[in-house]
Amino acid sequence: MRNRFRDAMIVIATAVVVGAFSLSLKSSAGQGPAANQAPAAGQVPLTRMPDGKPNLTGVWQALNEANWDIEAHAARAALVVQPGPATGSSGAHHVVPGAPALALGAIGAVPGGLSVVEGGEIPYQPAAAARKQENLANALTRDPEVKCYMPGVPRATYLPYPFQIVQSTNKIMMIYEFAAAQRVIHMDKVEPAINETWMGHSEGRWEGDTLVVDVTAQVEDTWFDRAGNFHSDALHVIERFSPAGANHLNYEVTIEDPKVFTRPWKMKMPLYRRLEPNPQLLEFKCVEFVEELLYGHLRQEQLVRRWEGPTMVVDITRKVPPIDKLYDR
Amino acid sequence: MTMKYRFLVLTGAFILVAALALVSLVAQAPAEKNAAKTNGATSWTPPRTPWGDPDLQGIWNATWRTPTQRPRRGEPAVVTDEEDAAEAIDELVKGYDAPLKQGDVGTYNAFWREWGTVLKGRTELIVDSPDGRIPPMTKEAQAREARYPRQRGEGGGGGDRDSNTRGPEDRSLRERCLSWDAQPYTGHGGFPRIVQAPGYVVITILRIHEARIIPLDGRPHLPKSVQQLNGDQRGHWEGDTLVVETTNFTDKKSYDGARENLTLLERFTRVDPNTINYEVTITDPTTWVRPWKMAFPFRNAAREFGPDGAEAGITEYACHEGNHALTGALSGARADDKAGLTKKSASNAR
Amino acid sequence: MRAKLAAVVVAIGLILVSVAVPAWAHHSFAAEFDANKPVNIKGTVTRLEWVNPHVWIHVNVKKPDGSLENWAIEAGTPNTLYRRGITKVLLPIGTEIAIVGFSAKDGSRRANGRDMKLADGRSLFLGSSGTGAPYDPKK
Repeated sequence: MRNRFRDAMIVIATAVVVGAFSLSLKSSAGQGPAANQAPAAGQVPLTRMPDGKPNLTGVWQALNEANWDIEAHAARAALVVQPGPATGSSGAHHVVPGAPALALGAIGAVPGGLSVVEGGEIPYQPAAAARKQENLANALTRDPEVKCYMPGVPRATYLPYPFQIVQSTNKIMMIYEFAAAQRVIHMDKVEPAINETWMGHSEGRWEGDTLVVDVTAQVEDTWFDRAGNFHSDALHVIERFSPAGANHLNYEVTIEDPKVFTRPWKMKMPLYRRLEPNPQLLEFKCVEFVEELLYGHLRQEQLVRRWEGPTMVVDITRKVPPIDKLYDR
Repeated sequence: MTMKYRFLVLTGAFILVAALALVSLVAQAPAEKNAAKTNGATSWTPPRTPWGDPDLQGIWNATWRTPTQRPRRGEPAVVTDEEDAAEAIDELVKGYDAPLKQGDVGTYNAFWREWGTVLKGRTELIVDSPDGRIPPMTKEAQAREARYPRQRGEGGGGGDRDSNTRGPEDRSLRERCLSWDAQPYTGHGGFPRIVQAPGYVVITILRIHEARIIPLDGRPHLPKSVQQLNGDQRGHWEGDTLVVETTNFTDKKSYDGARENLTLLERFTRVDPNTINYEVTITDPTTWVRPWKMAFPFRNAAREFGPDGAEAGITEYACHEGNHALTGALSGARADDKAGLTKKSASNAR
Repeated sequence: MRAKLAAVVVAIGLILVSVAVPAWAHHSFAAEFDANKPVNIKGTVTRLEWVNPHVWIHVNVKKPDGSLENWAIEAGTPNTLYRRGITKVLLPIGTEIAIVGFSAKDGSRRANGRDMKLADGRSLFLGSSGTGAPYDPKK
């Protein structure tokens, strides 16, 4: 009798262990239907939709310095700089932050970054290259991001803020935290856009496990980064989102713009799923925050005038541009 | 055939024809009257998404000419009938197309405008109020309103405040492109697009390209300290009904008189291929003496406009990027200052 | 007859228009434009901003002395225009256009475009309803 009891206990204990093990296997397979792709080393297996397509729903973010400058660049003092004195060991190369950035210190500095451009450099046509340099020198006043304008595609992808993918079968939404920008990727047949938009018109399809998105009809006013890299109204963007397991997307973008570049070129970077519990976009409605910048010069009485720190006083004078420039974006 | 029999047949035929004509007139808004009043309990079950949730997806027309609440005595009567609506629109259009008058800056004429339909048989979108009006405000809320009056677009507020535009804050949140109506509960000006994924529903609204991302996994709301213009949404299914609770509103905006203590409880039920029944319970004990409820249907926009028309109707609304109007209003006010035309008056700036 | 008129006229709207509330509550014309400065502008299209919420039509106007002046005319939304059958294809660069409206208070060369006519006499405006709407909600 005792032997039978002991045997029974061993059987039950084994069953419990095996059951617990298989349950843990099941729950680690992620939400939704079970994965059917063998994971690469170190990767969490991709989850799939019932039709077998990869499930990209979730919160994602790029983790690089591309938004500062998509080409390789060393760190520098600020977006606005002025020459320092030519004495000292830096000599003629010495720059210091310009007035608008001075009080921000290291927070206002530009960090260095590797190139996300395949081949390293953007193939500008000569006139366009000159305009890029002008943009760079005037980035603070020209960059649409400063004004909380929608970033366009592909810049929205690699802004340093999260974005949410909500993937259905015929439509895929991408909602970006910055400025509440968003786009719908039409996976079904739609008519071409009736007008230009800041986030463009996106049509998508699956090539195996890769989401391929064709973006057209984007306004010419968006930039690729804070370094003045730009395009014309002829821009055509082709994105490829290729899952590498459940938590990584390999993002590749082809840029075509015959008015600005000598040939098509590509950007490439990984995107990462936000893995903390309950990731969520918060509102970043920066329109409110830039109101003083964009309209403060038209107040009846100037509002923001002065700031004083321990070693510096910042006095601000507003000026109203001539009437034919007043409405420039 | 006897006379009596022939009479019966003819009468029957007449009744049948009249009934068919009536049905075709009413057919534009199927199931509205009943559906709007009930909780969407019908015998039709919506199709499922591939992952098994009720499918509410598509572009929906959530706009109605019918006002939120019944007009007070003395205010214009609400049109409830489509024939009368057509006449009212005719009058409206004639007004828009009248020649420009001296001293009237005029706005766009009929070419540039559109107008909504009436919700048949309804004089207001509120459903649980004996007088068809939003409940009375608490004393606390009345004091708050006196201090911070509503601006145009914040529900019932407005009127031109052009007399003294000292700065952007003297213009409404809409003119500043800060906020429109993200929640369809106002029933006006929204063409929501609904897209679903496992664990999420997202509702996007045209103005100002708002996206309400609704997680369905039962996670808690954001902490109360995080206040957002569109609040914080949490959803779940009750049978075939999507239930969404929204909290964490902000005190920077008036939502028909409420501010940060507003809670919305919305219910979306698809009752036929072309109709979602929408109900919202609006609660704020610091603002109204009791909660109130609105209910009205959403109509399938692709069916009304064709799929291309529906998509074209919600093309990106880049309000801020194109906001020459605010520059113009401010610059115009400064020109008035210079010309000595500025009327000093109490401004509604906070 | 009435039913047909109702069906034609009842075009589902993007914005609330009730008899009591001004339709274009988006922004105030009176704040920007001057009731005492009507304009009749005749010019050629130099640029189109075909964006929501407002289409902007930039025109070059020839002044009496022969010089050119560029005006920016604010028009309706691409969505509404689309439903009227108007797309940007109708206004290529160089198109001659005549506009009635009011100009900006601040002296800038901007106006709100109320009535627009093409060189061939076609009016880009509907006129009263019931005269044969060129638009139709698809059923």
